[in-house]
Amino acid sequence: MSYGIEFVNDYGERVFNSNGLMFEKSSGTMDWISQNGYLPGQGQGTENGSIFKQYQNWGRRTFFNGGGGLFSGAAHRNWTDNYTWSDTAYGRYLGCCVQVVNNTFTSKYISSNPATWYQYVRHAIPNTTGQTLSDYQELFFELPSEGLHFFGTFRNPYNNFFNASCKGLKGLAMPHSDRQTGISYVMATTEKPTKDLSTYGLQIDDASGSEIYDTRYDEKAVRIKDHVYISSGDLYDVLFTGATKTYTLRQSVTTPYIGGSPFVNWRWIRANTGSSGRQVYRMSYPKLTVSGTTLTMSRTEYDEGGFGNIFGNVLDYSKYEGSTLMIADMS
Amino acid sequence: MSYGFEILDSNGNVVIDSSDTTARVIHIQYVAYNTSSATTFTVSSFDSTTGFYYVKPHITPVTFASATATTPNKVYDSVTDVNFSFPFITTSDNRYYWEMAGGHSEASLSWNNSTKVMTVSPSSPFSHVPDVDLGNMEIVFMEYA
Repeated sequence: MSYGIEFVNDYGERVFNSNGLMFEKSSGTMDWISQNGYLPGQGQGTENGSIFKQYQNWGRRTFFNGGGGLFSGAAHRNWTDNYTWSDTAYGRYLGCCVQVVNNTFTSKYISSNPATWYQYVRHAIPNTTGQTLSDYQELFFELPSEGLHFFGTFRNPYNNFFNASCKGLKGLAMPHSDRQTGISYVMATTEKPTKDLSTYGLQIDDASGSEIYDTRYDEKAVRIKDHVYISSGDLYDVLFTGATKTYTLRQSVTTPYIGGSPFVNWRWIRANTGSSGRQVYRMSYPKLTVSGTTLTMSRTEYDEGGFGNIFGNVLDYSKYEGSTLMIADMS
Repeated sequence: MSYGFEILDSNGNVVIDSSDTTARVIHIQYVAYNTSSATTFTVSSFDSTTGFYYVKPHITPVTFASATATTPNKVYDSVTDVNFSFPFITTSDNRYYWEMAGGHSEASLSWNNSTKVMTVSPSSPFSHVPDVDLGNMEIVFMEYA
């Protein structure tokens, strides 16, 4: 530029160099899944819907493009009820952990064959249908002190599943089992906030005169403090060897929220290692925590078993892929 | 801070200061799932030394002819069918509808910062669910400097 002001941050980066800033549009607390649901890596069920995928037999399962655990549907019915949590104890269930933004189960949109197979689709987060640079939406999820196993944001671009309320963004997250309350989320958008024109402020334009920022905005810009790439190799080490990986953030984050690529990685095994020779299903997830300037990824294993004699072969499925994560401060 | 800037709201709270990155969305690319060949596109404004990118999967409806069918009848394209009105009704021919969280997130993304070309290569489907390893996505390009 020939004339103007540059806002340079502590790292020499021009914070208003281009349009596309995200602003905190809305926020809320995610709901616990209240009916049979599926975790990444799990599948199988003949009732009710998962968040993003329904299926009826062992032949198909998809979650984040290729989930595929093989938990028995019967064993997981009502898994959200009356079970406590444990990282390793047998006979426990993983229920009550998937959380969905705007979890509205009032819409039953299909009654398939047999009629008892009800399918549900959850509504999207309201006002998240934007798909252009000027009205794009993104979700950030609370990164709790107990840790977060996975999170992800998906777009349903279609006009209608059950009704138009299903179009837009959907999100999910799973905290560590120690977290007993819902995860908070923030919906951010590139849509420019309204501003108080009755007062004075500073407006920042780009070289063509397009407004980038105005200090009179009614909504805060998302304060992204750092971004981290977690490689598939690191995820493998965590999931398969129990390694702990650390990533140094360039600054501490008071109230960390996380967004970016879906972070959905898991290993599911079926083994005959349970007590009295019984079969055990083990679900392993990475766990993300932040303390100070350190982002840590470790492994949590959830086991269930004891509900059958040894049968079948040992199975070992997994899914892990590199992710770029944004760490924001939502103080 | 010793040097830098702070922007306060009307209540005196810091809304942005010189510790922030303010990553900005500069490009969104919709990518249709492609099982056979790589997809390439150019983002001339993106510089990987001052930005990053990530994937947002699209939910992808699929129909199957029966509960045991292993090959989809149709995979809806969230790029070209973006405004398709998917009814989710059961038809008399016993067709099954499936909602998928596709996303193609296992695709291999390779950015060439010299040519500004992104290459999205198909990945091998999961061996146990090859028929449903589908899905479109969008790639979000962010700039932070």
